[in-house]
Amino acid sequence: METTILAHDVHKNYVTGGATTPVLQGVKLATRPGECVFLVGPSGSGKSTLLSILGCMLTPDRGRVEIVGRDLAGLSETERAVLRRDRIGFVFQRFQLIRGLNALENACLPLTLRGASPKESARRATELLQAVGLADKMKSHVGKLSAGQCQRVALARALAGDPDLILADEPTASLDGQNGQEVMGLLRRLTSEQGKTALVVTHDQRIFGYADRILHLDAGRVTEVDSEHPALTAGATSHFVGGTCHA
Amino acid sequence: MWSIALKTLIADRGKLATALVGVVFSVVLVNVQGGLYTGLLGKIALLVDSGDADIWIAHTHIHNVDFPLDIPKRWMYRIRAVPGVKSAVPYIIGACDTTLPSGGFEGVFVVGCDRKSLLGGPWSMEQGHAADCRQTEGVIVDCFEEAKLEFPVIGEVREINGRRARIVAKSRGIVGFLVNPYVFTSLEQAASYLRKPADRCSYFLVKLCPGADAETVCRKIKQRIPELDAFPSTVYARKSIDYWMTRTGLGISFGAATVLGVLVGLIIVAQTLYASVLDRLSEFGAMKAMGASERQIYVMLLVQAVTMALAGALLGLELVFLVQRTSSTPHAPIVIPWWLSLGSFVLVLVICLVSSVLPYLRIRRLDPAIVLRG
Repeated sequence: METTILAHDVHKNYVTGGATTPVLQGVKLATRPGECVFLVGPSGSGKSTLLSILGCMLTPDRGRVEIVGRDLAGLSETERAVLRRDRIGFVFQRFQLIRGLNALENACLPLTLRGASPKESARRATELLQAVGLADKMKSHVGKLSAGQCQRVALARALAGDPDLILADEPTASLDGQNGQEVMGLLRRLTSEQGKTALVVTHDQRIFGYADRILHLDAGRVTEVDSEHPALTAGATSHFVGGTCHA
Repeated sequence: MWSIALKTLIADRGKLATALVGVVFSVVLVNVQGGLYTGLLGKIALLVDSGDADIWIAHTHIHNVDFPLDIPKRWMYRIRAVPGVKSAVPYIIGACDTTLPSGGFEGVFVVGCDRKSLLGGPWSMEQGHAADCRQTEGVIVDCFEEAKLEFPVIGEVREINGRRARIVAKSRGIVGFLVNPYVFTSLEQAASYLRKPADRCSYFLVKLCPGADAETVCRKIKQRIPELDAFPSTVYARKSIDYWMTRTGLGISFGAATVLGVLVGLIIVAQTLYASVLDRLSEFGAMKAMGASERQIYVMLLVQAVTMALAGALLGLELVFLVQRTSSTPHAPIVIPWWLSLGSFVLVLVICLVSSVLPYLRIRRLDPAIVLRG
């Protein structure tokens, strides 16, 4: 079966002051192209660690991770950077747009890093900014955009490099309800239209409806849950539906 | 990447301005200090550099142009007989006092030149002519030394070492390295003021025949009169300069100030670049997360560093030339040779490039996952 993310028995420990803290303990996870998967869990449950591993920014202590069919084991730092650049798009909680650049230039960034021609980069970024409703803000510096507009630029940037996988870290955390819904609507629509896989780390229950599946990370393990389950809607974390997630 | 580097640099105007101040400071300090130093060096050997003689001949063991020893004037004929010598004339330099209208005294260097050729005489005139020194008791003072000499006027009579001296002309900008003003007069009059025997002089100034090699002629002169040293004028100028540089702390003090300026500039630029990077650490983290290579990030920093160097150097040089135009005087000449300006530009470029290494090392250590940690 074709998978965008395939994680098998992933372990990760952190050592602080001589004490070892297990963060991920045998995480299993698989996603299909076009799927939008949410990853939820309490603070400190290892969501960011898992996202970093899936984003090729961190190496697991044990286990196997494949991103779009590429086994991460043994990849050099440079090869990981190239994999991130060419196959993964990121949406960050705090947007991480480059100050000093306008919306269009920010959206072009993945293509610029890839060495694409400025004309081609601008064409693709323009299409995406139009798609996220910022046709009239292309030349606006990001410092002058609202939080919702910034996250839309970040979404356009994430898609600009035509990645197979979008990793979104709390994409609505810095947005109000209305903007959060709009950004998630766009993320869902664009990833579906373009056949991308989106893995969204979030605490925001208001956007659970956009997920195809919701995975819960707790005690270092991933379990699949029903988005309507009262354990999620109540913010509790002790009741889940189903076992370890497999795509 | 160039465009991103420039735009992010310009966007952070406060830090850019701080870094530019550092670069401008370095450029101005290096050029003005260097210019003052070069100007002072020029003053040390002013008479040699501007005196138009090809060879200077002095007593052996002479260290600098202003402190000569007496030599017999009659050796002049033996020098004139050396092949390659077109002409040789005696020349006198000596220190004594002149009276001031207020009743005080001022030390002066009396310079006596050959009446006929005026070789070694004043070369830049404010009032009158160099040939006016041929007049009986005639002396030429410099218009930039008027304050020291209590504003002498043409025709006024003063006393030099107890003998009458009449101001007949004024030179312009012939101001020596030492505090004593130069007073130009004829050879005979100078000997009289300095109480020097008529058969003695300080130097012989030689003009060479066309095509004659100065070094060769000097060697022949020394062979002929071992009691004398003969130097091509450029060599003698260097010897005089070396005397002051090595026997005083002049070179060290100017050098130290310049090095200090460069260091301060380096620190400001490095600190600013580093602070700027720290300020945008999450942006760099995001770029790394998006797959920016280390080379791309270093290129960004290099472009920013070179841009700061270029902009700072241009601004700094503008300021330097403004300072030079408004502040350079014969007393404190700011002489900025082209190689000094070019050198200062290369220097700040190197400073900026070196400064970019520190933030690069910081970014290199940066874990791109930082952007996922809130």
